[in-house]
Amino acid sequence: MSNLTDLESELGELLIVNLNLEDIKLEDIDSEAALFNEGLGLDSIDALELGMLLSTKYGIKLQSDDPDFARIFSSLRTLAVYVESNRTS
Amino acid sequence: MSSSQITKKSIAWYIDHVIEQCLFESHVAQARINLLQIHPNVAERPARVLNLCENRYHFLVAFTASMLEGRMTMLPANRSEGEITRLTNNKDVQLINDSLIRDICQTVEVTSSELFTWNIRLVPTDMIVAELYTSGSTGVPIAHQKTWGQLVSGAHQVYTRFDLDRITRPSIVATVPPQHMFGFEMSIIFPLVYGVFIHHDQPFYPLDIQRAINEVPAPCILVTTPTHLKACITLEHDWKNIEQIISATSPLSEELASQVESIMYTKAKEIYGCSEVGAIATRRVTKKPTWLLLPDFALSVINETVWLNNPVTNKTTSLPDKLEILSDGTFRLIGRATDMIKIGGKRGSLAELTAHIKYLEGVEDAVVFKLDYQENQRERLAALVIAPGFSSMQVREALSKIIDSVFLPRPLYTVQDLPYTSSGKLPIADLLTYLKDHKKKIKTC
Repeated sequence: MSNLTDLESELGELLIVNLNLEDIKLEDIDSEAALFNEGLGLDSIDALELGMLLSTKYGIKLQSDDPDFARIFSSLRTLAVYVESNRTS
Repeated sequence: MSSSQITKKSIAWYIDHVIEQCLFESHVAQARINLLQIHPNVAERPARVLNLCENRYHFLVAFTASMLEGRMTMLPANRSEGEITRLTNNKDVQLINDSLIRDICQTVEVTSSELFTWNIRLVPTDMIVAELYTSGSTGVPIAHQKTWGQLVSGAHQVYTRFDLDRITRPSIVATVPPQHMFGFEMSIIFPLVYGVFIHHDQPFYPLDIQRAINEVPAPCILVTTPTHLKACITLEHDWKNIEQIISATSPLSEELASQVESIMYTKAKEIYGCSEVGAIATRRVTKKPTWLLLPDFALSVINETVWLNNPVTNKTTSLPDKLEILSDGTFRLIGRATDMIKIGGKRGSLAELTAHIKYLEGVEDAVVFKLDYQENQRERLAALVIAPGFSSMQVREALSKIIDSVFLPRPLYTVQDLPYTSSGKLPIADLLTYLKDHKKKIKTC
């Protein structure tokens, strides 16, 4: 049984479909596990792809000099919190 | 940025201010004293410096200081724990990182120029100043050493090919790290040899790149990759002052290049090269799709292997790509030699990755292979691993500690067996079928 909120599930699906994570099931994702390197094993190219996805789907334009940048991408949970409070679409 | 802040002797935008040549020289002098001359006995000072600075200006200070102390700079292929441990597993290596140089930049002020006796033009051309690493098929990287003369001559060829000598002091904004050969040539050797102005940062997202461009004096040369450019064109406005783009690491499709040129109001030029040699050929795909060799090189194909000869150094190197040489002297890239992969500008080999997985605890057998390539998409890898009692997530986590994450295969499945032929081989067609069947099996479970 997944412990994810609706928005976390939506973002998790977005990552699985768009970042070639087909071998990972949504219910396997721990919302507090790292997205990059260990955990889901995402890399810098994914970070750019993810930036484009957030821009298209939620109207969010990322900037890496945002003081909270490292925290935003630290887990699915922190990403969902950021999307919830910054989405424009 | 205000043009009044910039003088002919400004060399970098650092944090929130301009660095003048004399301050740069003071930083270099202090780095030599504080970091590199710390051991009183010259013979006991480490001969190599592992330069891990991510800030481009810090890297420039550390590299220049190391070179002037006669030390060779090691440029790691990635920052994985495994790579850093491998490179520092030797007492003859000194590590320099951002915090060491930042301390100097925060405290040092301009010292009297009479203290300085160095001139970059007096560095011996045959001195080995840098070492880069490429993947070897056994899992042990191969080192490639560069003399100062090779770096200067390589930089000169690119500089003139792209007509940068006709621009009054261009600025460089680079999205690639200074440790990568492409970033090293364009954002470290260019300022040292030609005095181009650099931006200290490695901007990442389109808005970061725009901000960096606005912080340097126009005209700006954007040194980047197709992956960044794909993201840049999603931002359809506010691109200005880019005199030209120099892209490398993988070819730009004609479609992406023409979108880049129209949205970013510039020319999208490209470099084809490799870590062993540096820049080899250039093109502007919207004008001509084939590659033109830089003047110092000659190519020949012998028994399907492409050999590159540099008559100046009399060095011959085999290239990891398959090329077709055309009658007008230009060439077309056809593909990569079967075992080689290149993702995010980093090159690896399938055999090497497979060897890394097989070394993991609990793994009995494994294979890594390439999936079909789609234009403008990253090269994709898949892995099938026999590791009884371990999940694919566990194998992935263990692997992520020893290899660069760009090479983590996706998908990575743990399986019961591998489709070996009777002669003990794993043909790619059989692996792709096996993968397809395995996915179906999982879905129906």
